[in-house]
Amino acid sequence: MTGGENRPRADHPLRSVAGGGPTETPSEDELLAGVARGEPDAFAALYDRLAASVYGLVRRVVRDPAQSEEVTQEVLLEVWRTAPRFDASRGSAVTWVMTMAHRRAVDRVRSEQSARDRTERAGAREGAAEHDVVAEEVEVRLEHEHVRRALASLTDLQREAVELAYYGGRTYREVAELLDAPLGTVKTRMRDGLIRLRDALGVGR
Amino acid sequence: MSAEVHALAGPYALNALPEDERAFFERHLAACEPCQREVRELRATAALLGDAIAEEPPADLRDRVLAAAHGTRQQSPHLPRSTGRPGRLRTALSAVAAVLVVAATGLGVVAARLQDRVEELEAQVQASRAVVRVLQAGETRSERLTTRGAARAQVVWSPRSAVLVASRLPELPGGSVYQLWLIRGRRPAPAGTFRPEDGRAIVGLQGRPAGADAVAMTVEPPGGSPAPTGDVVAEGPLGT
Ligand SMILES: [Zn+2]
Repeated sequence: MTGGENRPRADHPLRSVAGGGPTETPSEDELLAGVARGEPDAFAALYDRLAASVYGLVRRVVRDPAQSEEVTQEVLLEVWRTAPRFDASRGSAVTWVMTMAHRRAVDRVRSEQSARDRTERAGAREGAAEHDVVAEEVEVRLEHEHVRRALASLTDLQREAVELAYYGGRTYREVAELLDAPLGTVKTRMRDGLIRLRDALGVGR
Repeated sequence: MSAEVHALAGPYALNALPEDERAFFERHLAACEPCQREVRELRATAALLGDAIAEEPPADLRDRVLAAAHGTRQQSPHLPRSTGRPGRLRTALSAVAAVLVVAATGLGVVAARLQDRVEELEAQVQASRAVVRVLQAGETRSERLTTRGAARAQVVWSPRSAVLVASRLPELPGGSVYQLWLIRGRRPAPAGTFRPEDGRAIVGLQGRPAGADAVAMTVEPPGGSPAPTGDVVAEGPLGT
Protein backbone atom coordinates (compact mmCIF):
# COMPACT_ATOMS: atom_id res chain seq x y z
CA MET A 1 0.00 0.00 0.00
CA THR A 2 1.01 3.57 -0.37
CA GLY A 3 2.07 4.38 3.14
CA GLY A 4 1.63 7.23 5.54
CA GLU A 5 2.98 9.96 3.29
CA ASN A 6 -0.46 10.34 1.81
CA ARG A 7 -2.21 11.08 5.05
CA PRO A 8 -3.50 14.60 5.67
CA ARG A 9 -0.74 16.99 6.48
CA ALA A 10 -1.86 20.31 7.82
CA ASP A 11 1.73 21.47 8.12
CA HIS A 12 2.33 21.44 4.38
CA PRO A 13 0.10 23.95 2.60
CA LEU A 14 0.78 22.53 -0.86
CA ARG A 15 0.05 18.98 0.06
CA SER A 16 -3.27 17.56 -0.94
CA VAL A 17 -5.65 16.10 1.56
CA ALA A 18 -6.14 12.37 1.22
CA GLY A 19 -9.53 11.00 0.34
CA GLY A 20 -10.53 13.94 -1.77
CA GLY A 21 -13.32 13.46 -4.29
CA PRO A 22 -13.25 14.73 -7.84
CA THR A 23 -13.68 18.35 -6.74
CA GLU A 24 -10.70 18.14 -4.39
CA THR A 25 -7.12 18.82 -5.34
CA PRO A 26 -5.76 15.72 -7.06
CA SER A 27 -3.25 13.61 -5.13
CA GLU A 28 0.34 13.17 -6.26
CA ASP A 29 -0.56 9.66 -7.37
CA GLU A 30 -3.37 10.99 -9.53
CA LEU A 31 -1.12 13.67 -10.96
CA LEU A 32 1.53 11.10 -11.78
CA ALA A 33 -1.08 9.03 -13.61
CA GLY A 34 -1.78 12.13 -15.71
CA VAL A 35 1.94 12.56 -16.36
CA ALA A 36 2.06 8.93 -17.48
CA ARG A 37 -0.59 9.80 -20.06
CA GLY A 38 1.65 12.61 -21.32
CA GLU A 39 -0.39 15.51 -19.88
CA PRO A 40 1.77 18.65 -19.51
CA ASP A 41 -0.66 20.24 -17.03
CA ALA A 42 -0.40 17.26 -14.72
CA PHE A 43 3.38 17.51 -14.91
CA ALA A 44 3.32 21.22 -14.08
CA ALA A 45 1.05 20.53 -11.11
CA LEU A 46 3.29 17.70 -9.93
CA TYR A 47 6.27 20.03 -10.23
CA ASP A 48 4.56 22.56 -7.98
CA ARG A 49 3.84 19.83 -5.48
CA LEU A 50 7.25 18.14 -5.36
CA ALA A 51 9.99 20.45 -6.68
CA ALA A 52 10.76 21.95 -3.25
CA SER A 53 10.97 18.51 -1.62
CA VAL A 54 13.28 17.25 -4.36
CA TYR A 55 15.45 20.35 -4.36
CA GLY A 56 15.75 20.47 -0.58
CA LEU A 57 16.92 16.87 -0.37
CA VAL A 58 19.28 17.14 -3.33
CA ARG A 59 20.72 20.36 -1.97
CA ARG A 60 21.36 18.75 1.39
CA VAL A 61 23.28 15.85 -0.15
CA VAL A 62 25.00 17.61 -3.06
CA ARG A 63 25.45 21.00 -1.35
CA ASP A 64 26.65 23.01 -4.36
CA PRO A 65 23.63 25.08 -5.48
CA ALA A 66 24.33 24.96 -9.23
CA GLN A 67 24.86 21.21 -9.19
CA SER A 68 21.81 20.73 -7.01
CA GLU A 69 19.74 22.58 -9.56
CA GLU A 70 21.14 20.38 -12.31
CA VAL A 71 20.37 17.19 -10.42
CA THR A 72 16.88 18.44 -9.55
CA GLN A 73 16.20 19.11 -13.21
CA GLU A 74 17.51 15.65 -14.14
CA VAL A 75 15.29 14.00 -11.56
CA LEU A 76 12.14 15.83 -12.59
CA LEU A 77 12.77 15.14 -16.27
CA GLU A 78 13.30 11.50 -15.40
CA VAL A 79 9.92 11.57 -13.69
CA TRP A 80 8.36 12.86 -16.89
CA ARG A 81 10.22 10.39 -19.07
CA THR A 82 9.65 7.24 -17.05
CA ALA A 83 6.20 7.96 -15.58
CA PRO A 84 4.53 5.56 -18.06
CA ARG A 85 6.47 2.73 -16.41
CA PHE A 86 5.72 3.75 -12.83
CA ASP A 87 4.35 0.76 -10.96
CA ALA A 88 1.88 1.93 -8.30
CA SER A 89 1.92 -1.48 -6.60
CA ARG A 90 5.51 -0.79 -5.52
CA GLY A 91 4.86 2.43 -3.62
CA SER A 92 3.45 5.93 -3.81
CA ALA A 93 4.33 8.61 -6.31
CA VAL A 94 5.99 10.75 -3.64
CA THR A 95 8.17 7.88 -2.45
CA TRP A 96 9.11 7.04 -6.02
CA VAL A 97 10.18 10.59 -6.81
CA MET A 98 12.05 11.09 -3.53
CA THR A 99 13.82 7.74 -3.86
CA MET A 100 14.95 8.73 -7.34
CA ALA A 101 16.04 12.15 -6.10
CA HIS A 102 18.12 10.65 -3.32
CA ARG A 103 19.71 8.10 -5.60
CA ARG A 104 20.68 10.73 -8.17
CA ALA A 105 22.05 13.05 -5.51
CA VAL A 106 24.11 10.26 -4.00
CA ASP A 107 25.36 9.18 -7.43
CA ARG A 108 26.44 12.73 -8.10
CA VAL A 109 28.49 13.13 -4.93
CA ARG A 110 29.99 9.66 -5.14
CA SER A 111 31.07 10.06 -8.76
CA GLU A 112 32.68 13.36 -7.93
CA GLN A 113 34.68 12.31 -4.94
CA SER A 114 37.88 10.55 -5.86
CA ALA A 115 38.96 7.78 -3.53
CA ARG A 116 41.75 10.02 -2.31
CA ASP A 117 39.39 12.84 -1.57
CA ARG A 118 37.10 10.53 0.35
CA THR A 119 39.90 9.09 2.43
CA GLU A 120 41.14 12.58 3.16
CA ARG A 121 37.75 13.74 4.24
CA ALA A 122 37.16 10.70 6.38
CA GLY A 123 40.57 11.07 7.98
CA ALA A 124 40.59 14.80 8.42
CA ARG A 125 37.35 15.10 10.29
CA GLU A 126 36.31 13.17 13.28
CA GLY A 127 33.17 11.20 12.58
CA ALA A 128 31.33 12.62 15.54
CA ALA A 129 32.24 16.12 14.40
CA GLU A 130 30.93 15.48 10.91
CA HIS A 131 27.75 14.10 12.31
CA ASP A 132 27.30 17.16 14.51
CA VAL A 133 27.55 19.36 11.43
CA VAL A 134 25.06 17.25 9.50
CA ALA A 135 22.69 17.09 12.43
CA GLU A 136 22.89 20.80 13.14
CA GLU A 137 22.16 21.78 9.58
CA VAL A 138 19.34 19.32 9.30
CA GLU A 139 17.90 20.40 12.63
CA VAL A 140 17.71 23.99 11.48
CA ARG A 141 15.88 23.01 8.33
CA LEU A 142 13.58 20.34 9.67
CA GLU A 143 10.21 21.90 9.11
CA HIS A 144 8.16 19.01 10.22
CA GLU A 145 7.80 18.77 13.93
CA HIS A 146 6.66 15.15 13.79
CA VAL A 147 9.79 14.13 11.86
CA ARG A 148 11.96 16.02 14.33
CA ARG A 149 10.28 14.24 17.22
CA ALA A 150 10.57 10.86 15.52
CA LEU A 151 14.29 11.36 14.96
CA ALA A 152 14.72 12.40 18.58
CA SER A 153 13.18 9.10 19.68
CA LEU A 154 16.05 7.07 18.16
CA THR A 155 19.14 5.99 20.03
CA ASP A 156 22.21 8.13 19.28
CA LEU A 157 23.79 5.50 17.09
CA GLN A 158 20.57 4.86 15.16
CA ARG A 159 20.06 8.55 14.54
CA GLU A 160 23.67 9.22 13.58
CA ALA A 161 23.76 6.26 11.22
CA VAL A 162 20.48 7.20 9.50
CA GLU A 163 21.33 10.89 9.21
CA LEU A 164 24.88 10.39 7.90
CA ALA A 165 23.62 7.94 5.30
CA TYR A 166 20.50 9.78 4.19
CA TYR A 167 21.34 13.45 4.61
CA GLY A 168 25.11 12.99 4.26
CA GLY A 169 24.98 10.59 1.30
CA ARG A 170 27.48 8.22 2.96
CA THR A 171 27.72 4.47 2.46
CA TYR A 172 27.32 2.33 5.56
CA ARG A 173 31.03 1.51 5.35
CA GLU A 174 31.90 5.19 5.52
CA VAL A 175 29.43 5.68 8.32
CA ALA A 176 31.06 2.84 10.26
CA GLU A 177 34.44 4.48 9.82
CA LEU A 178 33.17 7.92 10.75
CA LEU A 179 31.45 6.66 13.88
CA ASP A 180 34.15 4.14 14.68
CA ALA A 181 31.54 1.40 14.96
CA PRO A 182 31.54 -2.18 13.63
CA LEU A 183 30.09 -2.64 10.10
CA GLY A 184 27.47 -5.14 11.19
CA THR A 185 26.28 -2.86 13.97
CA VAL A 186 25.92 0.09 11.63
CA LYS A 187 23.91 -1.94 9.09
CA THR A 188 21.62 -3.13 11.84
CA ARG A 189 21.21 0.33 13.41
CA MET A 190 20.24 1.75 10.02
CA ARG A 191 17.58 -0.85 9.68
CA ASP A 192 16.15 -0.76 13.19
CA GLY A 193 16.42 3.03 13.22
CA LEU A 194 14.34 3.25 10.05
CA ILE A 195 11.86 0.74 11.42
CA ARG A 196 11.43 2.82 14.56
CA LEU A 197 10.94 5.94 12.43
CA ARG A 198 8.45 4.08 10.29
CA ASP A 199 6.37 3.22 13.32
CA ALA A 200 6.69 6.68 14.88
CA LEU A 201 5.61 8.34 11.64
CA GLY A 202 2.80 5.89 11.04
CA VAL A 203 3.98 4.75 7.63
CA GLY A 204 1.46 2.13 6.52
CA ARG A 205 2.13 -1.55 6.44
CA MET B 1 19.46 -16.96 3.22
CA SER B 2 21.04 -15.87 6.46
CA ALA B 3 19.39 -13.17 8.55
CA GLU B 4 22.30 -10.88 7.72
CA VAL B 5 21.10 -10.47 4.15
CA HIS B 6 17.73 -9.13 5.28
CA ALA B 7 19.49 -6.52 7.41
CA LEU B 8 20.72 -4.92 4.21
CA ALA B 9 17.18 -3.64 3.60
CA GLY B 10 18.03 -0.72 5.94
CA PRO B 11 21.15 0.57 4.19
CA TYR B 12 19.55 -0.26 0.84
CA ALA B 13 16.56 1.98 1.52
CA LEU B 14 19.03 4.75 2.42
CA ASN B 15 21.09 4.20 -0.76
CA ALA B 16 23.98 3.45 1.57
CA LEU B 17 25.18 0.21 0.01
CA PRO B 18 28.33 0.22 -2.11
CA GLU B 19 27.64 -0.82 -5.71
CA ASP B 20 28.65 -4.48 -5.37
CA GLU B 21 26.56 -5.05 -2.27
CA ARG B 22 23.67 -3.22 -3.83
CA ALA B 23 23.68 -5.63 -6.77
CA PHE B 24 23.97 -8.54 -4.35
CA PHE B 25 21.02 -7.37 -2.29
CA GLU B 26 18.89 -6.68 -5.36
CA ARG B 27 19.30 -10.30 -6.43
CA HIS B 28 18.10 -11.35 -2.98
CA LEU B 29 15.29 -8.79 -3.07
CA ALA B 30 13.90 -10.16 -6.31
CA ALA B 31 13.07 -13.40 -4.52
CA CYS B 32 12.34 -12.27 -0.94
CA GLU B 33 8.81 -11.04 -0.37
CA PRO B 34 9.35 -9.85 3.24
CA CYS B 35 12.33 -7.74 2.12
CA GLN B 36 10.28 -6.27 -0.73
CA ARG B 37 7.61 -5.15 1.71
CA GLU B 38 10.16 -3.82 4.15
CA VAL B 39 12.02 -1.88 1.45
CA ARG B 40 8.74 -0.30 0.33
CA GLU B 41 7.99 0.84 3.87
CA LEU B 42 11.50 2.00 4.67
CA ARG B 43 11.73 3.96 1.44
CA ALA B 44 8.44 5.65 2.23
CA THR B 45 9.92 6.47 5.65
CA ALA B 46 13.13 7.84 4.13
CA ALA B 47 11.05 9.94 1.72
CA LEU B 48 9.48 11.66 4.75
CA LEU B 49 12.97 12.53 6.02
CA GLY B 50 13.68 14.12 2.65
CA ASP B 51 10.37 15.91 2.49
CA ALA B 52 11.00 17.44 5.90
CA ILE B 53 13.90 19.57 4.61
CA ALA B 54 12.08 20.96 1.57
CA GLU B 55 13.53 24.13 0.11
CA GLU B 56 12.18 26.26 -2.74
CA PRO B 57 14.32 25.91 -5.86
CA PRO B 58 15.25 28.99 -7.92
CA ALA B 59 12.10 30.32 -9.58
CA ASP B 60 13.36 29.98 -13.16
CA LEU B 61 13.90 26.24 -12.75
CA ARG B 62 10.19 25.63 -13.30
CA ASP B 63 10.14 27.01 -16.84
CA ARG B 64 13.31 25.17 -17.74
CA VAL B 65 12.02 21.83 -16.48
CA LEU B 66 8.65 22.20 -18.17
CA ALA B 67 10.27 23.25 -21.44
CA ALA B 68 12.72 20.36 -21.29
CA ALA B 69 9.86 17.94 -20.65
CA HIS B 70 8.05 19.35 -23.65
CA GLY B 71 10.98 18.28 -25.84
CA THR B 72 11.51 14.90 -24.19
CA ARG B 73 9.83 11.78 -25.42
CA GLN B 74 8.33 9.56 -22.76
CA GLN B 75 9.05 5.87 -22.40
CA SER B 76 6.44 3.51 -23.65
CA PRO B 77 4.62 1.60 -20.89
CA HIS B 78 6.67 -1.40 -19.87
CA LEU B 79 6.13 -5.00 -20.79
CA PRO B 80 4.61 -7.18 -18.08
CA ARG B 81 7.33 -8.01 -15.62
CA SER B 82 5.85 -10.47 -13.18
CA THR B 83 6.06 -13.50 -15.47
CA GLY B 84 9.22 -15.51 -15.77
CA ARG B 85 9.79 -14.86 -19.42
CA PRO B 86 10.75 -11.20 -19.53
CA GLY B 87 13.34 -11.86 -16.82
CA ARG B 88 15.01 -14.51 -18.90
CA LEU B 89 14.70 -12.35 -21.97
CA ARG B 90 16.27 -9.45 -20.13
CA THR B 91 19.14 -11.63 -19.01
CA ALA B 92 19.65 -12.92 -22.51
CA LEU B 93 19.53 -9.47 -24.02
CA SER B 94 21.85 -8.21 -21.35
CA ALA B 95 24.33 -10.89 -22.30
CA VAL B 96 23.94 -10.09 -25.97
CA ALA B 97 24.46 -6.40 -25.32
CA ALA B 98 27.56 -7.11 -23.28
CA VAL B 99 29.00 -9.32 -26.00
CA LEU B 100 28.23 -6.71 -28.63
CA VAL B 101 29.99 -4.07 -26.58
CA VAL B 102 33.02 -6.31 -26.29
CA ALA B 103 32.91 -7.04 -30.00
CA ALA B 104 32.60 -3.40 -30.95
CA THR B 105 35.22 -2.28 -28.46
CA GLY B 106 37.56 -4.94 -29.74
CA LEU B 107 37.26 -3.26 -33.10
CA GLY B 108 38.43 -0.04 -31.56
CA VAL B 109 35.05 1.58 -31.82
CA VAL B 110 33.34 3.47 -29.09
CA ALA B 111 30.26 1.39 -28.45
CA ALA B 112 26.96 2.81 -27.37
CA ARG B 113 26.34 2.34 -23.66
CA LEU B 114 24.32 -0.74 -24.41
CA GLN B 115 24.48 -2.29 -21.01
CA ASP B 116 22.67 0.72 -19.59
CA ARG B 117 19.97 0.36 -22.16
CA VAL B 118 18.99 -3.21 -21.54
CA GLU B 119 15.61 -2.08 -20.38
CA GLU B 120 14.90 -0.53 -23.75
CA LEU B 121 16.09 -3.68 -25.46
CA GLU B 122 13.21 -5.71 -24.08
CA ALA B 123 11.03 -4.34 -26.86
CA GLN B 124 13.57 -5.25 -29.50
CA VAL B 125 13.62 -8.99 -29.65
CA GLN B 126 13.82 -8.92 -33.42
CA ALA B 127 16.91 -6.78 -33.34
CA SER B 128 18.56 -9.03 -30.83
CA ARG B 129 18.14 -11.98 -33.18
CA ALA B 130 19.95 -10.00 -35.85
CA VAL B 131 22.66 -9.15 -33.33
CA VAL B 132 23.06 -12.81 -32.51
CA ARG B 133 23.30 -13.69 -36.20
CA VAL B 134 26.03 -11.09 -36.68
CA LEU B 135 27.94 -12.31 -33.67
CA GLN B 136 27.64 -15.95 -34.65
CA ALA B 137 29.20 -15.11 -37.97
CA GLY B 138 32.48 -14.61 -36.13
CA GLU B 139 34.10 -12.14 -38.48
CA THR B 140 32.47 -8.89 -37.55
CA ARG B 141 33.50 -5.40 -38.50
CA SER B 142 32.22 -2.08 -37.37
CA GLU B 143 31.95 1.37 -38.86
CA ARG B 144 30.89 4.64 -37.31
CA LEU B 145 28.58 6.44 -39.72
CA THR B 146 28.74 10.10 -40.61
CA THR B 147 25.60 11.67 -39.18
CA ARG B 148 23.72 14.91 -39.21
CA GLY B 149 23.36 16.84 -35.98
CA ALA B 150 23.87 15.13 -32.65
CA ALA B 151 22.82 11.68 -33.86
CA ARG B 152 25.24 8.80 -33.44
CA ALA B 153 25.14 5.67 -35.54
CA GLN B 154 27.34 2.70 -36.02
CA VAL B 155 26.99 -0.45 -38.08
CA VAL B 156 28.31 -3.82 -36.94
CA TRP B 157 28.33 -6.39 -39.71
CA SER B 158 29.49 -9.73 -40.98
CA PRO B 159 29.17 -10.77 -44.65
CA ARG B 160 25.76 -12.30 -43.92
CA SER B 161 24.12 -9.84 -41.60
CA ALA B 162 24.34 -6.28 -40.29
CA VAL B 163 23.06 -4.35 -37.28
CA LEU B 164 22.63 -0.63 -36.82
CA VAL B 165 23.18 0.80 -33.34
CA ALA B 166 22.04 4.41 -33.11
CA SER B 167 21.37 6.98 -30.42
CA ARG B 168 20.29 10.61 -30.11
CA LEU B 169 18.10 10.27 -33.17
CA PRO B 170 15.69 13.17 -33.57
CA GLU B 171 12.04 12.34 -33.04
CA LEU B 172 10.09 12.07 -36.27
CA PRO B 173 6.81 13.83 -36.99
CA GLY B 174 3.63 11.84 -37.66
CA GLY B 175 4.21 8.30 -38.77
CA SER B 176 7.48 9.08 -40.55
CA VAL B 177 10.17 6.44 -40.24
CA TYR B 178 13.88 6.06 -40.56
CA GLN B 179 14.74 3.82 -43.49
CA LEU B 180 18.00 1.96 -44.04
CA TRP B 181 19.61 1.34 -47.42
CA LEU B 182 22.36 -0.99 -48.57
CA ILE B 183 24.07 0.58 -51.55
CA ARG B 184 25.69 -1.47 -54.28
CA GLY B 185 27.34 0.60 -56.96
CA ARG B 186 24.93 3.49 -57.08
CA ARG B 187 21.80 1.45 -56.41
CA PRO B 188 20.25 1.71 -52.94
CA ALA B 189 18.29 -1.39 -51.87
CA PRO B 190 15.76 -0.98 -49.03
CA ALA B 191 17.10 -2.57 -45.82
CA GLY B 192 14.23 -1.93 -43.42
CA THR B 193 12.46 0.84 -41.54
CA PHE B 194 12.22 1.65 -37.84
CA ARG B 195 11.18 4.24 -35.29
CA PRO B 196 13.61 4.88 -32.45
CA GLU B 197 12.72 4.45 -28.79
CA ASP B 198 13.88 7.44 -26.75
CA GLY B 199 16.14 8.39 -29.63
CA ARG B 200 17.83 5.01 -29.62
CA ALA B 201 17.61 1.97 -31.87
CA ILE B 202 19.24 -1.37 -32.47
CA VAL B 203 18.01 -2.69 -35.78
CA GLY B 204 18.93 -5.67 -37.90
CA LEU B 205 19.30 -4.69 -41.54
CA GLN B 206 17.29 -6.65 -44.08
CA GLY B 207 19.39 -8.19 -46.82
CA ARG B 208 22.97 -9.37 -46.89
CA PRO B 209 25.73 -6.80 -46.58
CA ALA B 210 28.09 -8.86 -48.77
CA GLY B 211 28.85 -6.88 -51.91
CA ALA B 212 27.42 -3.62 -50.59
CA ASP B 213 29.68 -0.58 -50.72
CA ALA B 214 27.85 1.64 -48.30
CA VAL B 215 24.97 1.97 -45.90
CA ALA B 216 22.71 5.00 -45.62
CA MET B 217 19.73 6.11 -43.56
CA THR B 218 17.01 8.50 -44.67
CA VAL B 219 13.76 9.87 -43.29
CA GLU B 220 10.79 8.50 -45.23
CA PRO B 221 7.01 8.72 -45.09
CA PRO B 222 5.04 6.13 -43.07
CA GLY B 223 5.80 2.61 -44.26
CA GLY B 224 8.99 3.57 -46.04
CA SER B 225 9.78 4.07 -49.73
CA PRO B 226 10.99 1.82 -52.57
CA ALA B 227 13.79 4.32 -53.25
CA PRO B 228 15.18 7.12 -51.03
CA THR B 229 13.16 10.33 -51.11
CA GLY B 230 14.03 12.05 -47.83
CA ASP B 231 17.06 13.63 -46.20
CA VAL B 232 20.08 11.42 -45.62
CA VAL B 233 20.70 11.49 -41.87
CA ALA B 234 23.54 8.95 -41.69
CA GLU B 235 25.87 7.25 -44.16
CA GLY B 236 29.13 5.38 -44.29
CA PRO B 237 31.18 2.88 -46.30
CA LEU B 238 30.79 -0.85 -45.63
CA GLY B 239 33.85 -2.14 -47.43
CA THR B 240 33.11 -5.86 -47.13
ZN1 LIG C 1 15.05 -10.87 2.59
